Amino acid sequence: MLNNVKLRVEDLRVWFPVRRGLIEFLQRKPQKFVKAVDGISFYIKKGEIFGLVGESGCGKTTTARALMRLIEPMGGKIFFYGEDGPIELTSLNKKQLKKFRTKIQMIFQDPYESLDPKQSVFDALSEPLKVNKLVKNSKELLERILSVLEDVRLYPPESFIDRYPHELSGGQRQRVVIASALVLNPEIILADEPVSMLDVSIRGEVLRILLELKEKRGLTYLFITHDLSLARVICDRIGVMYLGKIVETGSSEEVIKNPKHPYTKALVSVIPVPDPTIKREKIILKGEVPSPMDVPSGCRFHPRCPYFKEGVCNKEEPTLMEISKEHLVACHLWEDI
Amino acid sequence: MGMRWHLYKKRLKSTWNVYKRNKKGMVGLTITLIFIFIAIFGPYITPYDPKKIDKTAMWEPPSFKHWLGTDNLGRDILSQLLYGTRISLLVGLFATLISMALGTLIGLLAGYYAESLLGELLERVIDFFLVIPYLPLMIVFATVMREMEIKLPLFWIVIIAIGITGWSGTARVVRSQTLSVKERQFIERARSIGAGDFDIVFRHILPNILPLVFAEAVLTIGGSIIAEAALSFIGLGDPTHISWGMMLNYAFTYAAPLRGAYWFFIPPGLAILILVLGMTLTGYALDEVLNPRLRER
Amino acid sequence: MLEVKGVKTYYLTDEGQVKAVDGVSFAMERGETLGLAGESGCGKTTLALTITRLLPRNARVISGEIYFDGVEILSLDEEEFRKIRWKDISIIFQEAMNALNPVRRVGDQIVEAILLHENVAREEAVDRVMNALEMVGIDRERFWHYPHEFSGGMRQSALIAMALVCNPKLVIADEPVTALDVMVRAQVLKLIKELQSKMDLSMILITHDLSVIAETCDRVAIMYAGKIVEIGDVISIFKDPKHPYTKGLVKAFPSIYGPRELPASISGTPPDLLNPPSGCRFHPRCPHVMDICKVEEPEMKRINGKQYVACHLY
Repeated sequence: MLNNVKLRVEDLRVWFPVRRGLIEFLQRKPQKFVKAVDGISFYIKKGEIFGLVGESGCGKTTTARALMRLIEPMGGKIFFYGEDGPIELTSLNKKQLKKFRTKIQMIFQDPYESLDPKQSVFDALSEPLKVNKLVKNSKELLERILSVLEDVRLYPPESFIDRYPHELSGGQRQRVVIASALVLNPEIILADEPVSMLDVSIRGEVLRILLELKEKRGLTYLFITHDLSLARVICDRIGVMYLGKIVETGSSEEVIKNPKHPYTKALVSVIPVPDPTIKREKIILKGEVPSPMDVPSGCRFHPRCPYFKEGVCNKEEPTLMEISKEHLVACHLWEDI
Repeated sequence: MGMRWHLYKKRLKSTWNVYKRNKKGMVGLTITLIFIFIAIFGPYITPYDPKKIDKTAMWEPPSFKHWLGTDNLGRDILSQLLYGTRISLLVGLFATLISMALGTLIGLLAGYYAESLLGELLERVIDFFLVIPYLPLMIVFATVMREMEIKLPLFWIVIIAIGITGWSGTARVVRSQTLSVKERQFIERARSIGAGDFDIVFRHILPNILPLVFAEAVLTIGGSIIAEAALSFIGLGDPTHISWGMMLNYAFTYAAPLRGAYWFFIPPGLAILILVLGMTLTGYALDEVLNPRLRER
Repeated sequence: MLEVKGVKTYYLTDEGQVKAVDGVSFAMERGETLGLAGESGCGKTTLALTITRLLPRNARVISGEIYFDGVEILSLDEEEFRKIRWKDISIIFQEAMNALNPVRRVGDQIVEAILLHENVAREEAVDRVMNALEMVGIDRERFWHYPHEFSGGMRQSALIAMALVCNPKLVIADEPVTALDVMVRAQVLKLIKELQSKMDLSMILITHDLSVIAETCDRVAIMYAGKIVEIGDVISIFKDPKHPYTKGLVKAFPSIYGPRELPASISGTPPDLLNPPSGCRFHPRCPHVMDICKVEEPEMKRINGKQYVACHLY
């Protein structure tokens, strides 16, 4: 397995300290943390699309930002397997990180907000190259920009370079964002809900472009989404997150057809289905996801779990166990349910 | 890139179209333009040399010969007023340039580094300058600079004194704008492609707050003009140049109000009032027009 | 019960008239749930605001009539319509966060809704609100809480309670579950379905999400560029769509029970409502475009039973 892994995350933790008032400080109350990501481990194979799925607040977006070190993880290791062997990302210093930045790039969710309204398409695409000093002259710069615009199917590329974001449609803007990530020739792309803010009728086109690019350039993707039906068609493997932990992981088809964790089962049962003739049993959980500041003891899903067993589920945190080929679950009771 | 120019022109045109419909903005702009016109062409249209002393025509009230009368030395008031426009506007402009540059820089740094020690420190500095009344502070600076016998013409001392006391308002606005722009997703994107702090502040944040900085600048010029008048009135100004403040200084020194020589002190006072009003209206209108919420989408 | 005839609502802007709703007609019976589906900018929210007469200042209803229980409501003056608004027709807004006043208690706001429209004593209103909250699954105690103490799902449920508290005949729900997480979404949709059966509600449900429509609606109207392009019962629309846009839209929603394929997309860009395409608005993006489509606007024709399409192919 190890020789075709591109990225491996080991026990990643991202905790945000909660600002304390003066009184709490004087009372010497313990520092509280928002445990956005609380010890997750997974790997992504070369050329694979790995999906991180879950509801809002589960930590998937924070994970992506931690992988890029836009947010500093407070624990855990991230291994990138490149040509020169594994590099451990959390140990890189500022200078090394800058050099490394070009290898992992990110695509953001909101096409209206992720582009600087004062920058033309040309500016937005040349900035990554200029900042990393990757081009020698303006001719080379222009060539690279035109070429990457063609890659994202913005034809004719010359007509797009002088446009500003407000002159582009949502789908076009998102393609510019993709282009600006591609222009650095990264090896891994982290796509954070890349189509959820686009009109439904344009999503397919953007997804097709992403897949095409993956084939053409041999890219590896981390695909973050809350939409399980989308994860099923796009991702090869997925990891389901709940309150900062991965509760189940496996091939997307397997996890969705045959979920083993109670949370996954419930989530899958309520996936929106655009078909009025399908009737199914929905497991609708009570209440909401607790705050990451007050994580429940033991298995953090236990307060809402329909199979909760006193003394077991609230005592000890379950770890991910392999129950069949590449299908892992973190649940004490998975065999009985 | 020649293409860039025509895009700027398009933007300017659309901004102008919206501005045109702002009534107070148009009034303000008209007033301002009239004064600018006077400042440029004033010296060529003055009927008399403002410095010409005419002992035969002292303290004359407004007449056909002297539209605004004469002062204690027989100098024509109208000519002084027209000449003074230039000085007032120039001082206002240069002083504003200084406070804008200072205010913008400090505001940007205070906003961008807000969570670190530097940011907290700068925030306190800004607050400090905001809270202290500008007039005493300005007087202190001007006096200290004169006492120190800095080898600069008085004209520039006045400008510097105004400039280094007037930056805090701009800094506050710039800081709060920086704080909000900093959180936008395109800034995060800039970081992810490897842009450093310098790039982010000057290539991304500054262009996005520039329109408001510009509006703020217009308002600041108004304040600077009043500041110049105040300094000159107190006697800390440059007596070699005629400015409205200087005129007020002479008027009160020679007891014009007691003599009932209203034509001596009302014109400069009114001039200050109207010009600053004009610039303030323009500044507010610009602020409304350039508000980023309306402009981008 | 509700009849909309030829309604045209335009927005007046610097650049010209935005033809948000450009000739929409449909009818609704008592007790049915009609889905209004379409992507952003198709005019569905504007239509809802037109029916409830809550349009912003720069919008004008250029033409058309709306009959509610036989009364033409667009021509009523504000005072008279206020009696109908909320009491007979109520609306659940899209952004639950923004629809509630953050500095007032939730219960008080809903009570206010009652007191504004009905002549009842405050105690009675408070009682009704507490019952309404219970009905939407919120603890009675929460009456005294502020909006920030409510979770997203609860706020949405509170808005539903507010819309139902005067026992209206028609409820218009604009994207009621779009901003919610999938589990909360399921909770709220379950609530809506329970209320539908318990209260014999008539509802117009506006959304771009076809799966919400599949779950809750009896009939669906598909909107594109300010016009209704197809309308019919929910099963026919999903299983046998006629209009090319409907076909494309249905295929753009992946189903976990279907094949593992990428969602289909519709080529082209959303229409410009300032200068909509000539003839059939959809023609620049239609895979079956013919010459007549570029010139002449198609009329609504009956296909079968309750299904109507506006397309030259038929």
